[in-house]
Amino acid sequence: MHNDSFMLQAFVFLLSAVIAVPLAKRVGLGSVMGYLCAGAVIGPFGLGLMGDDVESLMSFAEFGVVLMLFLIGLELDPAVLWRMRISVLGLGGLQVLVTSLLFFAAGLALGFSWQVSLATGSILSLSSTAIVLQTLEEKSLLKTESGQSSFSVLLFQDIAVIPLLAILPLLAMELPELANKTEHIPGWETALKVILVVAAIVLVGRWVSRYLFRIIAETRLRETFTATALMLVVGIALLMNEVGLSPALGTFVAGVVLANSEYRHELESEIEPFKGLLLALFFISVGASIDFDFLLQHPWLISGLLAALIGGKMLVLVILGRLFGLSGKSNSVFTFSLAQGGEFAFVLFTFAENNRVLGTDITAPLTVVVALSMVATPLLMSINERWVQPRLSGNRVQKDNNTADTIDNHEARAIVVGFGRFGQIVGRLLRINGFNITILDHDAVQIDSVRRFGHKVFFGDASRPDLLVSAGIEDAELLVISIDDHNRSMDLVRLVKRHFPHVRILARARGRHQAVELLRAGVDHVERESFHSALRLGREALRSLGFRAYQARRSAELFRHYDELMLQEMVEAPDDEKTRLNLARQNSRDLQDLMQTDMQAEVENQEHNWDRG
Amino acid sequence: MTAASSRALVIYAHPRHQTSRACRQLLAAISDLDEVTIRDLYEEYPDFHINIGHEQSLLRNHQLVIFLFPLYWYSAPSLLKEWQDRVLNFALDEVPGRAGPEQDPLQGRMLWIATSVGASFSSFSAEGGNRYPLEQYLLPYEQTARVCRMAWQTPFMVCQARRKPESVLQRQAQSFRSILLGKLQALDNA
Ligand SMILES: Cc1cc2nc3c(=O)[nH]c(=O)nc-3n(C[C@H](O)[C@H](O)[C@H](O)COP(=O)(O)O)c2cc1C
Repeated sequence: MHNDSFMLQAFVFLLSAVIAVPLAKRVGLGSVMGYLCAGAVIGPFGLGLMGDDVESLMSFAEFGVVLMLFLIGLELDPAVLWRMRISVLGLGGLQVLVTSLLFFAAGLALGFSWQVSLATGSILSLSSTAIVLQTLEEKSLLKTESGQSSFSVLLFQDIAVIPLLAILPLLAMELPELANKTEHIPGWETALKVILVVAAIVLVGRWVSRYLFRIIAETRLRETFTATALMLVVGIALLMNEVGLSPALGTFVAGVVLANSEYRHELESEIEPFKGLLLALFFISVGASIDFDFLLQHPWLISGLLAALIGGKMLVLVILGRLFGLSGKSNSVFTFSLAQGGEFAFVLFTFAENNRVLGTDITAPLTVVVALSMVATPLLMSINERWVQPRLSGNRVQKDNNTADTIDNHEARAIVVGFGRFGQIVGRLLRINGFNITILDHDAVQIDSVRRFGHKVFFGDASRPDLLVSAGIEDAELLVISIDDHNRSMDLVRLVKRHFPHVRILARARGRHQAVELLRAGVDHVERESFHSALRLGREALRSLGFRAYQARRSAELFRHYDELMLQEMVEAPDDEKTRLNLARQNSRDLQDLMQTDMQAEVENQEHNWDRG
Repeated sequence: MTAASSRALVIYAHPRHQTSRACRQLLAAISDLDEVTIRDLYEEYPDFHINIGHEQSLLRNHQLVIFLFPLYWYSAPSLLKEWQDRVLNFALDEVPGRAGPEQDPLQGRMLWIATSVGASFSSFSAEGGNRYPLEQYLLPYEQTARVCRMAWQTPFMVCQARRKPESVLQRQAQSFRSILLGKLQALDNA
């Protein structure tokens, strides 16, 4: 019975998403808006299809945010993070500080106590990591200057939650009591805990996980790998909760630690679908939590507060963006994207209520306002895109996606799949010539041996689109397929041809027959794995039998030329067994004749015509 | 320099040595000499990938450089051109004006061209089909020698190379050998 109701709920969620998301996308608002609206419609204040425990659903769904930060961490290796330190601490720190002060002052001006003003001010200074990052990513703005700045601010906010959780309870107390109490709050103990936990994560991520993943990978069971990846993230989240730190922050650190690991791509594609589903659930529950009754009862209060929240945030953001040298366009994306309350506000409001810092008279309207500000974000981004951006510069083609300000501007242009004896030669040649390559191999043992030579190799089954995407196929120019399993090569070719037709494919083929199949499937260039070495050896054989080196070379080259012509003929011939056999038989006869004629011409070559003069 | 060490470097470029008559004779007539090193370019570098350092050090160690080739389209076969393009530039690398073996690696060496041609001697004249003497066609080599500060030697030619009977070619090859010996002698006396 219970099971049935779970299935029914799941069905309602999925159905609402399936209807709302395409609709929202059609009108240009992005998936986040779709989920939020779907949530509002099916929520307790709409059709009431969700059951009544929206809050516990939301806290479950918040795990999607945790997964998202893990994935973001995976994309940033420590070096990149270090480069961002100024914008995280400077821009992020100032955003939280100045926004808090602004709302604090507003609270005082409205006649609230300083405690209440400070609590609400600091809670409202936070923005929504989930909504902002999802929206930026959907608009492929995440790797631009503006996206990076937004990300820095969000990162700082995630860190700021830790001291906030510590400070809020203090605000409930009278001043003398406070002075008393602070002595018992051992700041160094918390600090020590943080350091220990982070150190543990780094330690495990760096050294232990590698062996764990290798052992798991060798079992060749995908589910086990998925389970391990999820276990890792859940475990860290639990640990962080246990010591009172933000789980999102902990998994982010774990992600950064694993960013350099060869399992990065595989992890990314394993976690990605879970993140997607949970985030969707999260957005739906945010939509569902909007208290429409309250909104209808106090329309003016709510809209006033909403305008103040968004306006105040935008004001601070635009000034800080200017101060930190963002260009006009980047600054407007930055400003419009971060102007909402965050999911942490829900948590912190409840927390503050429980600690008797804020009363429901304050948290009830503000919760609605924060939820509405989240809904407003996709709208604001669209307004920015349609009306603000075009005005900021006449040059529309040159969006702010200058290659110079992307995170990974050294992203590999070529992907080599299969790094055995064949792929290694290709890869080494490319690297020697200064090209970064991404290497995919499904053999964990292989990877381990190759990594010792200083290559960056990633583990995974390349015939899965998600893995190819995380390996960067969307931006890659070239795919080199050097695996020895013909059927897997063919699968890969079909897949890439279907989903990423812009990529040039070079492939290794076992023999003539396989080469023809690959070429028919649309590979741009094929090399038969033993053809050239056999020809080379043939050349040496000719020399051993008395040919001149150059003569042997010419002969081998001629052979190659005709052989490749015939291969091309077979590619173009109709694909049936009989034609193919005939063609092959005829070809080997032709080759002999053609070569004989050419060699003859080579000898005679009208040399005598030169002595007529 | 010790007597045993090689003094003449033959840069031989013939893409079809196997059917050669003239150049083959010229080469055979000198290949027994201790003082001669032969570089058979088409045999060494059938893929045209020249070992530059090795060729340059050979040049440094020889006093007389001989280009031996059949004339193809009024020039040398392409691998010799490739060899020139890859190897010779080091002669210009150094600062001109400063003397000494390090500064001018080829200075004072001799460049001698030996070539076989299909056409007759008389065709290389104002009245003949080739209109100019053969030396004119070899002007780029002469100037190359000058730029590299090498002493240009009067070229050795075998005309009507495909037509002449074997015995005539043999005689010419012998005179090629004795001119070479004369040059080596002169080097020893210097
Ligand atoms: C591709 C080619 C180009 C030639 N160009 C010329 C030329 O420009 N002038 C000429 O007199 N002979 C020319 N010949 C004739 C060669 O010089 C002649 O066959 C060669 O010197 C014979 O020497 P061998 O017996 O060592 O091969 C040419 C021959 C070939 C194959």
